[in-house]
Amino acid sequence: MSKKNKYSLENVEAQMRKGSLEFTILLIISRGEVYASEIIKQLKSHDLIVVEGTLYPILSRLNRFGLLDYSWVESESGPPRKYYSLTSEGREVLEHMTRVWEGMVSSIRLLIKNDNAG
Amino acid sequence: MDKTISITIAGVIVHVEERAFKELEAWLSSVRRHFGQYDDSEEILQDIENRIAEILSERTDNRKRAVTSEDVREVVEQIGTIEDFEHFEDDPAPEAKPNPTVPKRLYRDPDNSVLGGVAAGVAAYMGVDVTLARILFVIFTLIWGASLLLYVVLWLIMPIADTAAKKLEMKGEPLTLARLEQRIKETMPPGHEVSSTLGRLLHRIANVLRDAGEAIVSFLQKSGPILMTLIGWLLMIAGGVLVILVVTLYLIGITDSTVAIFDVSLSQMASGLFMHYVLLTSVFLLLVIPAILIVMAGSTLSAFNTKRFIPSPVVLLSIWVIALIIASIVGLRELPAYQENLHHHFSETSQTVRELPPSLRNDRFATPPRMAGSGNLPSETCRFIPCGNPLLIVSSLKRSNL
Repeated sequence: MSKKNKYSLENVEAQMRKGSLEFTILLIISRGEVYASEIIKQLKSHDLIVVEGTLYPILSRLNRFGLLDYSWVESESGPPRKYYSLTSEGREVLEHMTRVWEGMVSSIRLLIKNDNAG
Repeated sequence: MDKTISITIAGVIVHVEERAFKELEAWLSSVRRHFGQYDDSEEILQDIENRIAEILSERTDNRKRAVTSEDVREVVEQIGTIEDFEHFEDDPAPEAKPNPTVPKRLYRDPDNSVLGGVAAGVAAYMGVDVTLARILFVIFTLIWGASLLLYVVLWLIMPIADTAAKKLEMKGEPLTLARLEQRIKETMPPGHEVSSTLGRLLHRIANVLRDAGEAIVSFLQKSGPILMTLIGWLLMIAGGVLVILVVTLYLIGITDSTVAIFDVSLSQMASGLFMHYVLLTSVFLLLVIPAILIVMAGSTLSAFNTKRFIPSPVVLLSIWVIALIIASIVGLRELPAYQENLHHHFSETSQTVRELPPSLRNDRFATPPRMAGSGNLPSETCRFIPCGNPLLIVSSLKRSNL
């Protein structure tokens, strides 16, 4: 194997996390209205995101596609905050995503089991 | 003791120490540029500004103290730099990307300037030494004084690199916080050390010229946008007329092979038709590119965007240099052929005069020298008969037919 084709585990891991990021964000928001900093805190605690700057484009994209809505809430310190919530469309998409995810997880689990069984 | 600057972020007034402000500004402008290409750039940037204001408010205990460099560093760490964003957005790259190259931008360099910093800015853009750029500039001025005019135009249209971020862009260095800090430190004391008396005198003169030039430039830029637009339009029209003229001449030259100087077809003078076209094309490029550059300078002044349909000046200048080289090589090669043909042509006519009997000479001068298509005659015939006189040609032809 040449050096060029060396498998990058780190890269694949980053891709897996990235691939599930929108799903995770929708999940966090589905639990109730949250504002960006809280979403970030949760994502960071699960090692799903490194810097906050990457979240904002995703939020505004989901909003543009009508999956998210937000309302402004005054805060005692600093500027008003955007509190995000899911729209009915967002909820539908999340349900679909959940089904896809569970399907994937169960088939992968099956494959892992088969592999272990030999 | 530190100076503080009051700024408004997301509608919140924040006091920031001067150095922290510079860092914040530099970072934020890089973030703005990064997200500027996004569909929802305004919303994203608004969100980020909100977040900055929030973090800074929290950290300064609800804005009871000024924001320091450390606070800014914390903000940058939390929200991230453009490298973080790019790293995140990258599709699975097979290998780690080498240092991302940042597109350079043409700015005037205020730190290495003698006059307006044009030469230093161009040198930074081209990645060559400032001294080389200056020497070339002086040489060009000595050869064609026009480069002085070019200098003035560049002084007018090149923006000055007045922030740390712009200075990094000028050199094509990536905008990272570490680099910005380093740059801010580097540019703090502007120090030129000149020892000799003559040097000091020249330096004085340069300083006066620079201040005067800067004053004129800022006057024109600030109070004379209309004048700039006007000059821009004039340049565009003049350049456009030049372009059309040159293109027309070229098209005539390339399609009509009978275009002639002194009655000798140009295309027949070269050693071959192909060489003729090569020479014609390179001369055309030599003339048309400066005309295009004039149009571009005009469009920059009048803020008329031509970027979409005109290639970059660097590309144009490279083509120009190539055309210059080709024109020189082919020109030098073809020059003898052209000369010989012309010479031949002239010696034919003069020979004719010499061989005429004295009684006919007056007659010859009465008729215009080249009329009866004598160019079509084989030169052999021409040597022996007086080509200038149509009557004689007819008679000589008759004789040869017999």
